Amino acid sequence: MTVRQTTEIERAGSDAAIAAFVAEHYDRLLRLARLVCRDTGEAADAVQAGLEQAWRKRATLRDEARLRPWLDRIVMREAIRVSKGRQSWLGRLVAPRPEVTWIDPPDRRASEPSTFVALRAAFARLSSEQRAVVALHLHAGYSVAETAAMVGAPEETVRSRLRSARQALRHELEEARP
Amino acid sequence: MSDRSHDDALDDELRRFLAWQAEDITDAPTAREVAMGISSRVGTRTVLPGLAPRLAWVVLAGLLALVGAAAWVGGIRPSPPLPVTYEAVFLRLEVVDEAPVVIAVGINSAGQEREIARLPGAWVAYDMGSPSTQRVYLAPMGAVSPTGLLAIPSGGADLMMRWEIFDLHQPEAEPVVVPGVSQFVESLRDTPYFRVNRRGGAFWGPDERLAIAWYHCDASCVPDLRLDFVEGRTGATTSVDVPADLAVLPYWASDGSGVYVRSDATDEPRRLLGRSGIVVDETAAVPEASCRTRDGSGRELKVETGSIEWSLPDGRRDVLTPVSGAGFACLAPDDSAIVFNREGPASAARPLAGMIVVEGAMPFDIEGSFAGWLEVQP
Repeated sequence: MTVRQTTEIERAGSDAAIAAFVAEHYDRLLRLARLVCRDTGEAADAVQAGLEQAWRKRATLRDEARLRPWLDRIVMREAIRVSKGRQSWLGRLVAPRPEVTWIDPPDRRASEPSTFVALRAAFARLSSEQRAVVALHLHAGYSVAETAAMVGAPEETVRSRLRSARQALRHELEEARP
Repeated sequence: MSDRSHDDALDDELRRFLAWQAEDITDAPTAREVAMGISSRVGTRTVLPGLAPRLAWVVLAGLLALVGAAAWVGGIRPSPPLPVTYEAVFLRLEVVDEAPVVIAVGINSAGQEREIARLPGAWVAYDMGSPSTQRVYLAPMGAVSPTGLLAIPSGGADLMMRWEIFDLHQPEAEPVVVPGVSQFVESLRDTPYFRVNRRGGAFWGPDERLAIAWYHCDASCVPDLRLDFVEGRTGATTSVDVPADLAVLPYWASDGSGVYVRSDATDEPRRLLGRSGIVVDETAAVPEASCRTRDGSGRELKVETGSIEWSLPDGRRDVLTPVSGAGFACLAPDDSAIVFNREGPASAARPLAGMIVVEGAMPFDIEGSFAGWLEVQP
């Protein structure tokens, strides 16, 4: 077998390993990132960047049982970075995106509970960091301490972000209810 | 409805909303597309080798120019590196048929324990002469660098000890033997080596440099203390005499040029003993304590009679935990946790330590001798 053939086989094996790695985690991470990023494209960018980082650093992970929280942590930090980057003044200058509330097609709106529509608007107004702690704590089920470690903030800061997010969302919910 | 149940009801509603919102991913690229993108960037698929070399350089230069322009225009920032966390490393001994195995365990700041390495024969099974029929062995003593090098005295049936350096990340690899050191087991002292003691000890400094203070002497002679400066990865050693009127302090110079010594009653690190064996009073280096006691906010950790306390910058004191017989309390390099010792009658055979997670957790006990803080990737 030639060196070139060996290299091709190694490449094919590595490609297959990357494909399996991505297939296993992509959907879950995309859903998590989508809660922080306000559109699916940004979320996909964050997941792709996070999975690439994780793949490059996978040898540093000692405990396989920690893979899931490790990936969640990397991707959530990417999601916050991507989301905040979009909000930077320079980012807006280069690629202006007016902050508008998108109007969904009537058939979709009809299938949504009214409270969810109200919550979606309120949730989008939270900061990226607030959305991240809400997503990790309430959606992914991490404790406050685990969430703090993931976003790199003290626990008290995470509690404060959760508190203010709940207040904002509760207010919106009460407004939406007849 | 109480506030608590009100919050729980809100959380339930938020969870349903989040599950619904998370499903809004219909326009996302597929996993296959993402995997292909990653493959192309991690270098498993590349077009450059197939191109003529000159064309490859042109393409590469073009890409670099594009990346540079994008970074300038868009304010692209690299992802911040993942922060390093630390585990407290403790050494334990298992003796089966007089064959000792040193077990290094790591405890993280959440109190979780993991076995890092098992090192058969890394410590002599020294029977401490228990009056009972069951043998009692001296617990292993060593020092761990943040990068995972364990310096440990190692010996055989004659109880003469030499120092060996293991890599906890490659425990099966042959240890580096520090040349020149030979000391009787009785001249070793309890770890960790944070307090001044004529029996010396070993502690790590910058760039994986190790200081070993030791002497070769039987019980009747006057100890002649030596200080060995050791390169941790190679074992290259420079040995100097410690002048009789000086005691070695557990402080390295920040530039690795030497170790601090004292000649008076205070433990303030003011005089530096360098590799040349010369003591200097003035140095540009900063003392780096083997046992950190001051955190990032300026609080100072104090071991007082009966308690471990914070001494606050405004002069107030804040008791962390009552404890009797503690000789040291040290902070993790990231201020996340505190390790302290619990002394007792059987401490040489079964040392007991305590750990406090700084963010509010209660102290808990750990069996084993504390050896240092280990960097780990989260």
